[in-house]
Amino acid sequence: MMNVAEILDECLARLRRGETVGDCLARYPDQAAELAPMLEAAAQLRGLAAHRLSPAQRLAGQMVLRAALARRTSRRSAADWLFRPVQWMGRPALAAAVALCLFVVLSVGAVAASRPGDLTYSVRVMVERAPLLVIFDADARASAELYLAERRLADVQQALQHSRSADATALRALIRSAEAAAGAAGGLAEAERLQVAARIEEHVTQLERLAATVGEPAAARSLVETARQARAIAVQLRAEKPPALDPQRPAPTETAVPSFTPTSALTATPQPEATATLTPETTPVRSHGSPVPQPSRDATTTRRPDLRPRQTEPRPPVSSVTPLQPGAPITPTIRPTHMMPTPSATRRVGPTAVPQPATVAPQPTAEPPPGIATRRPEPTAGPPATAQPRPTEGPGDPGGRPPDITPGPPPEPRPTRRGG
Amino acid sequence: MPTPITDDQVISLVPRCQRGDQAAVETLYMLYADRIYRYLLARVGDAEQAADLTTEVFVRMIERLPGFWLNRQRPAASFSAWLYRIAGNLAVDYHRRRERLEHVSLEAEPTLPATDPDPDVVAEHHESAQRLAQALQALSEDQRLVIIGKFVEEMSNSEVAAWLGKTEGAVKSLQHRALQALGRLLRITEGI
Repeated sequence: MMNVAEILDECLARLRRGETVGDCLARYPDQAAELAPMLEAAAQLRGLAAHRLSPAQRLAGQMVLRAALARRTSRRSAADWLFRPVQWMGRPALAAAVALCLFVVLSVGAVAASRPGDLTYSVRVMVERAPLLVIFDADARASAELYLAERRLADVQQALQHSRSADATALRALIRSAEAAAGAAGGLAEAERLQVAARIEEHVTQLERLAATVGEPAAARSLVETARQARAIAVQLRAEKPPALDPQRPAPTETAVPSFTPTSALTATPQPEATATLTPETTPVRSHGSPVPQPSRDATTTRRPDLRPRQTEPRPPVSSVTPLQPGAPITPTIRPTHMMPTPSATRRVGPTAVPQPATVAPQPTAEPPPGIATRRPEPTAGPPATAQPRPTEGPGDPGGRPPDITPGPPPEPRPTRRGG
Repeated sequence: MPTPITDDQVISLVPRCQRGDQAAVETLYMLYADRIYRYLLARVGDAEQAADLTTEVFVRMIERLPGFWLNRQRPAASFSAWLYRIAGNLAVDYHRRRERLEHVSLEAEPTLPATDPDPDVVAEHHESAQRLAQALQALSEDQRLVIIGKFVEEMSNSEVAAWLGKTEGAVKSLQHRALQALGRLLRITEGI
């Protein structure tokens, strides 16, 4: 026995083959009442199958489409400039960019909503510290660190409520913030420093209260240990002395004032200095601990000690040499006899250490030819040389050899000077 | 029975249309115009309105084709479904506009193509098309597409199933319920 659906399919097939609705209903008189409206509706719909657009309507449609296509082409050429990057990237790249943005947004949301114990909580702690990188004022930095410490304390409380455990990450971050706050407060005035210490002590109190109320022994131990560390930080901060000077401020100017008192540090007597290359030259040598210059023989004239008074910036005094006041007309006792400009000093200060007259005048054993040595150095104050320097090989060699241009200094004896 | 449109035709024509190829657009129009016209004729019951709306469907197709993403698994079915969706939206807009225009005169009544010169027959056709369009309005879009595919486009159950992406069983069920509802509605409007 066929059901109505099967009979309907049968009748529809017959209608397609050309039978009429009446023929079908006559075949199934029992279902005729039910089939009749459906078959009539189908026949009515089938009547639409013969309809088509007329050639005129089709042509009119084509003309409209051509105009629409031309409009789109002109619009597209302008829009291409705007959307060319998107077209160039293509759908996969665009989808990847959208997915990346979505990932970043969701990740940021997950980090921001993380709680102690979550995988992203440590990231959140780190991210929350990021603004501190641009806080350089000590007061503001201390406040920011204390704020972070309070946030970590709130996190600890939240973790205790949810899992009955003290989150180690939050406790570590709390101590770190307390230490950083104390470090920043170290450079502040005493009142501000004590305020920071008081806030850290508040944290200690809260930690101890939490430790007393939490049931878990392990959590209580962690809280007590953290409270102990925080208390130590607060105690140390209270005990700190105010800084003598702000390290960021410049040093007081009075420490850099030079002394007016001339000392014996620069009382070396001028030494004769020969311009001739073959003349033994005594250069002042000042040894450490003995300010008295010692004449020495040095045939080279490449470098000379610069003994001119310097009109430069004042420098902090040192133990052995007292700088002169800038512009002070102090003449050093060392006066170059030649090749140096005379200092324009108006006041001369006598040397405090007078060099002893030389007992033995340094005399070269071999005189250079007059044509070579144009000028013999005449020491204004002869050093108390104890030994006479002697060139090992004189320029006026009897053998008639030309003098050596750079005779080496004689090793011994060196003229020494004992000055008082 | 109209010649079925193959996947190869759609795969060949749609990308060219997206690039603005006029010949491809006109080829697509020739393939789909009569189908869309019959669908719209069934929906609005007026030949001139259906012809105008058919043109409008293809204008919208040109405007929206650059954003159309052809499904490479079933290209012909996906493009056809997209085109019929545009036509369905236009038919809905048409009925909304018509409802707002309450003072529709007798001369402005929808008409079917007057193939029969007899005025009585023409008037009967008008009334019949109007009732059919009103009855179709009460169906769901799936039911409408199934019975239009089956009886207007003379597709088999399997072709309708492939066109709409449904099983043949689902198509039979939709067809049965659609015919029941349509027959009942037509009887009501005819006063039987």
